[in-house]
Amino acid sequence: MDIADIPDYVVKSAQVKGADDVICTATSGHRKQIRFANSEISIGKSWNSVSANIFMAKDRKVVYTSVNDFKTLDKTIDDMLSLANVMKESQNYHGIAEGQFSYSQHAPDSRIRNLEEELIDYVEQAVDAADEAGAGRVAGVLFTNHGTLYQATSGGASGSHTSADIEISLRAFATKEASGHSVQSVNNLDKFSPDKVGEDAGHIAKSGLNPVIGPEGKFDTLFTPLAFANLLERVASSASAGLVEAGMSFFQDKVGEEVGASNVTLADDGTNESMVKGAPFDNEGVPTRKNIIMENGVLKKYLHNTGTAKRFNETTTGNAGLVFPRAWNCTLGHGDASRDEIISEIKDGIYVTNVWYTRFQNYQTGDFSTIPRDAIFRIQNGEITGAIKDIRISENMLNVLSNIKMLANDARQIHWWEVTTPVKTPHVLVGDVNITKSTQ
Amino acid sequence: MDRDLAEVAVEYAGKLGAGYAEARMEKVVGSDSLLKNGNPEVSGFDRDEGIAIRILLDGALGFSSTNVLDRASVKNACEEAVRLARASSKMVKQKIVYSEEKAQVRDYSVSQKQSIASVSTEELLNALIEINNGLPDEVNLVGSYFILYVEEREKYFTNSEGSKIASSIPRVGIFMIGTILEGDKTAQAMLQMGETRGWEFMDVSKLTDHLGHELLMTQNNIKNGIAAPKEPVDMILGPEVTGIAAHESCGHPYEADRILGREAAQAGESFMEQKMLGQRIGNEVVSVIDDPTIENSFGFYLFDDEGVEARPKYLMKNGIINDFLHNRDTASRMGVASNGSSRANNYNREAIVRMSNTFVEPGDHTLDELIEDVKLGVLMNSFMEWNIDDKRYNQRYIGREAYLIENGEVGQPVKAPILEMTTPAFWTAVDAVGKELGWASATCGKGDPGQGIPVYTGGPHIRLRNIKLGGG
Repeated sequence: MDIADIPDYVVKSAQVKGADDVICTATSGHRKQIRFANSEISIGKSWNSVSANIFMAKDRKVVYTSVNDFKTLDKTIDDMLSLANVMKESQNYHGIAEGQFSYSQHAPDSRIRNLEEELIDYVEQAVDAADEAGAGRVAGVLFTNHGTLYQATSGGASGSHTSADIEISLRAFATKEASGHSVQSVNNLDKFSPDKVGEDAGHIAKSGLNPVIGPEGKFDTLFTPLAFANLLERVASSASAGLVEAGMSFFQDKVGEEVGASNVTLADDGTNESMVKGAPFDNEGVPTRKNIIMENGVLKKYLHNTGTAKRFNETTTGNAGLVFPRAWNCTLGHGDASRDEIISEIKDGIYVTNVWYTRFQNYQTGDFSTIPRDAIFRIQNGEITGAIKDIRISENMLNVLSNIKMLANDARQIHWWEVTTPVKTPHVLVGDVNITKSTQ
Repeated sequence: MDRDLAEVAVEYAGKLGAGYAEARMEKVVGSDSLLKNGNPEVSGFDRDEGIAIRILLDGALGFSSTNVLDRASVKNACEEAVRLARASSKMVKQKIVYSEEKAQVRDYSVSQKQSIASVSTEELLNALIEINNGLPDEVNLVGSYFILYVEEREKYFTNSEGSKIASSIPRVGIFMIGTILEGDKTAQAMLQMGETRGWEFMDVSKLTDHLGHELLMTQNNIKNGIAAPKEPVDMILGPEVTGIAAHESCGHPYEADRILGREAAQAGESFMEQKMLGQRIGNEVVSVIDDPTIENSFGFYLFDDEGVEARPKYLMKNGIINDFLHNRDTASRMGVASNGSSRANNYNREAIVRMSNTFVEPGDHTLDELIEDVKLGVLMNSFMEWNIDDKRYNQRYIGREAYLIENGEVGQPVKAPILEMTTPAFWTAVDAVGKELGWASATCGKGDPGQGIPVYTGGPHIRLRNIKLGGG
C-alpha cells in the first residue's frame, strides 16, 4: 500500500471494526547530518524512515501506537481495539475535532532533499569563516530534513504536507574558555548562509578571550536571541493546557492576568512560513493559526486541543499534539532599539550570548536556573568592558517576563540542540536578574 | 529479527569500499500507560524495528539508518553511508582508526521471572492506578503525572571483523511528577525508578511505599523547613545526591569524546584533559566506578554497541583521575583499548561514549558515624533542581529532603539548601564515605540527535566538610 493511502485505510478499517474516534498520521522522512568538531568532519549520517502513528478511542478509552511495518496494519488495528476494550475510561476524553478543513500550503524547497556533497562545502565555508573571524577550532552540525506527512481522521479531516529545511549550528573556540555559538535554520536554500553563521560565532569567540570569574548579585542582563530563545521555549510549553492540568506550568490560573512586562507580546503560529517545523494542520486535522499567548504582558490564552478546550470552556487553538497540546513555534514581538543602543543604556550589567541546562525547581512556581555558556560579557556605563565566566542565572520565569525592560529590533529564528521548538526573538534586556556562582 | 539483513549490510558495505563496517539491528516491543491526576489519559504499545549501518572509509565515518527492512532499502542505506563518508573524507585531518579489539561471538539475555511479553497494557494501567490510589492520604497531592513503561529490546550486532553479538534485554520504568500543596506553597517531586528486569519489578506495595515516602518528605520539608545556615556547614549527602554528583561531575567529564571535543557544539566539552590522568582531583577516600555489568541495573549491558565486552572501570580511584570512558575511536586516539562504553539508545542513533551505572564506591562508615561528629551540618537526602556547566566544572543541587544536623543529632527539615560548587572542590571536601550503597534510576541525555539512555546513579552517604551553601 502506498504510504499516502495508509491514513484513510486505517481510519475506515478501525471504524468498521468498532472504534469511535481514529486519527492516523503516516510520515516518510529523509534526513542527513554532517557533524564536525576540531574543524574536521566527525561523521556523515543519513536516515530514511516511515511510520504510522495511530490514535484510537472507543467508549472513551484512549489508546495509541506507532507502527513502521505496514504489513502488520490490520493486526495492529485489531490489537488496539482489543486493548481499548479492556482499558479504563478517561474522564478527560472529549473527542476529536470534526469537520472537513481546507489547508494553506507552501511548496517545500525541493533542492534541499538532494543535497549531499554540497553539505561538505557548506561546512567548509562555515569553518573557514569562523577561523577568519578568530576561531582556532570549530564544532557543529549541519542538518537537512525532508519529510511528507499524510493524515486522516474519523472526524472528516484529511490532508498532507511536505516540508524541507536546512540548519546549521556552529560553536567556535578562540581558546578552550573563549567560545561563541551561532545557528541558522531556513526552509529556502537561497537564504542559507553558513559563512555568516561561522563568522558570527568566530567573532563572539574572539571577543570572549581571557574571561574572569563573574560577579554574583542582581544585574540588568542582556540576552542574545540564542540565549533568550532557550527561556521562551519553556514559556511556550507552559502555555500548553495539558501541562497546566498536569501542574507543570507557571501559567496555571493566570489567563487574563499580567504575567509579563507591558512590552511583551508572544505568539504561536504554525502557519508562519518563515519558521521551520510549522504545519498547516495539527494532530486532529485542525488548521493551525496564529495564537497570541501573551499580549502587552497579559496572558491571553492557553494552547488547546479539542479535549482541553472543552474542559476549559474554550475552542481548540489548532495545537493538538499526540497527547498534549504543543506549541509549533514561538515569536516574541520586537522593539525599536538596536543591540548597541540597548548596551549604551546599561550602567552595570551582564551580556549573555548562550545558555544551557535550564532546569526547574518547580514548574508551577517557575523557579529555575540556567547556565550561561560561550562568551559572557560585563557591561559597565554603556560599554562592554570584558569577558566573564562561571556564573549561573538563578531566577523565576514570571520574574524574568515581568522584568523585561527593552526589546531590540533584531529578531532571529533559533532552533538547535537546546531549543527544539523554533523561537523567534530579538535581543532582550531583563532587569535585576539574579546571578549566582560556585561558593568554592 | 532477520539477522541476514545485517550480514548483507556488512558484506555489501565492504564491496562498496568500506574498510570497516558494522550493522546493528534492534527490535523493541513495549507498552506504556499515562495517568494524569488519577485519570487514565492514554495507553499504548510500540513495535519498532530497524537497522543502523556504520562504516569507515578513508578515515571518515559514515552512518545510515532505515526502518524499511528489505534488502533494497538496507543496500541503499549502505550506499548512503559510504557516499557520506567518502564526501566527508576531504575534511578529515586525523583519519579515524578504531582501537584493536577482539572479535566476539556471543548471545545473552536477561532472565525474567515474569516475562514482560506476558504483561498486558491493562496490567500496566492497573498497577499505576493501584500505586496512585495507595499513596498516603496525608499527602496533599494537587497534581500528578505518572508514566509506566515496559520494553523488551532484541539486538543483533555484527561487524566486518567477525563479531556477532545478540542480546535480549527487558526494562521496566516508572516516572512520576507530583505537585504538593502545603498552605500557599507548592513543591514538586520528580521521581524515577527503573530496572533491567521482568515484570517482577512491579512490587506495587514496595513502589507505593517508596513514592509515598518521597512525597511525604517533600511535604514535610515545605511545611516545617527552616532556612539553611549562612555559615559554612558540613554536608552529608544521601545516595541520590551522591549518585547525581558521581554522574554529572565525574562520569560526564571523564567521557573521552567530550575531552577530545567531539561533543563540543552540543553537550559540551570537559575541564579534563588527557594529561590529567594520574592527577589528584579528590580526597583519597573517594573512588568512583562505572559498571555496566551490575545485574538488573537500569544501565545494564554485557557488550557495548561496538561489540566490546563491558567491564567495571574506576574513573576516580582514591581521589586520583584513573580512567576515562572510551569507545573504539577515542581509545585509539588516546592510545589505549576501548573499555566498552559505546552505546546507542536505538537503531536510529550512532553509538557514542556513554555512562552505564556510575557510583561512588562504598567506604566503611555507618550513617550514624558520619553524623555523630558533625557540629553544624545539613543532611541532604534528595534533590530537585540541578545543573552543571558544559565543561562539568560548576554544579548545583537543590535539596528536596534535607535536615539540620546540630551536635551530631539530626533535627528540623531545611528548606531547599543549595549546594553550588566546583567539581574539584566537591570531591576534595569529601572526608568520609558510608558503607550502604543506594541507587537511583535516570535517563542520561547526550548526542545529536539526542539519545536518552537508561543509567543508574548511586553511592552511599558521603560527608563533605566546611561547605558554604549557595544563596539562591
